[in-house]
Amino acid sequence: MPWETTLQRTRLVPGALIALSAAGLAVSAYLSAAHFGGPPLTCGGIGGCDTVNSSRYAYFAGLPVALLGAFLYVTLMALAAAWVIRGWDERLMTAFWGLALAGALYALYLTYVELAIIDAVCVWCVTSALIVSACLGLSSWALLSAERPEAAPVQAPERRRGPAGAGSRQRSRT
Amino acid sequence: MVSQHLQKKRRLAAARAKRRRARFLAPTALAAIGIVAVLILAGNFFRGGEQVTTSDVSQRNGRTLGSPAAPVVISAWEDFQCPVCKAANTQVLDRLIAEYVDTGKVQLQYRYFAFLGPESQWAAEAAEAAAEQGRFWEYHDALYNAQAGENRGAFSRERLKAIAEGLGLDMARFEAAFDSGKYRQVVEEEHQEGLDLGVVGTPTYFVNGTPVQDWRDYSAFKRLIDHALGDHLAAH
Repeated sequence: MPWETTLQRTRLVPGALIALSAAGLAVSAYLSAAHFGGPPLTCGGIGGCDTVNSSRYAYFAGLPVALLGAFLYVTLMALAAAWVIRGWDERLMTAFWGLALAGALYALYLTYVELAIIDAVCVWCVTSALIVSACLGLSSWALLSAERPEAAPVQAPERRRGPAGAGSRQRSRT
Repeated sequence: MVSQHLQKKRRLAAARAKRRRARFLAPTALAAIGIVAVLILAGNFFRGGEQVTTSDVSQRNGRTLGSPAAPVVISAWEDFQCPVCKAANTQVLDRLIAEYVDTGKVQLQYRYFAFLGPESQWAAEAAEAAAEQGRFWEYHDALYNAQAGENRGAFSRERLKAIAEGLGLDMARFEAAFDSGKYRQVVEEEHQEGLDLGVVGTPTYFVNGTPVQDWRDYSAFKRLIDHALGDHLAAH
């Protein structure tokens, strides 16, 4: 539908989602590397990264939690890239949203563990929590705007033949 | 006419979209919450139930001793120049290591609380340089054995290098790390972290975050650990 075009044709939102996922991937790769003999963590003047990253909560079934984060961000990046390449697909975006929600909830739990149990805060872990929350926020906004036509600018019928973008291809499918 | 027609189409589409949202978003949110709940529960289960393999026992990974999967963590805030820390290591920690760390129940984490002067700071930086080569605990033991008064040259920069050399460390790598001062900040930040946690002197020990009131009281120390292990068992 035409009102979807402004949001969905623009590559700004999926581009931002790709950038956020890439930043999240970089952070979790950095934290994962520390588990596999990488450089010692630089902790932004706060300290606590090693305490958190070497605590028993930093492992899930023997795997570093940071590695799970890296997998999550790779998946999010792939889904956001699919938006750019194949066009808006509400199911894929819902999958993105669901994963980001799970990631944000788990990050919330881990932040609670840092504050309440480990008594140390890892600035990189908090950064990752903020990134995944931003992914959740942005994808929520994208999904909700797509469903609230009155919130988007009205497009004149004669302009509907305008530059064919992701949005117009989607229309023919639904 | 055209605009009325368009508006009607829009209204219909809006209703359709609303139905779509109801169809996808709620179950997706439930699935996400379910996945996180399973992750948290399974994580706790694995942390408790994971079998400790021989290779995990006394694994020397940086400044930790023991299995990362151990249910209880003792953090040891010490200063290499502190003679009481040396005594605590020989009188208490060695026994705890044999009883709890080597059996996979406890992970010991060494924390720098370098507050006794420049030689404390240098010793901690040197230990960090040794940790880079996976030799932290050997260097730790060698430092305690080399104690001879505070800030009187026992841990001069030259002596610290000689200790490393005595242990057969890769000296080019050790000196590059030590002389660059790249661990200065790590040690200073950790000191601040200790202060923030309420550490005022050394040695200070925490069992899963609970401060040990008197480390000399071995049975009280053990009770605290057993209590933490019991809590863990009760949780499963």
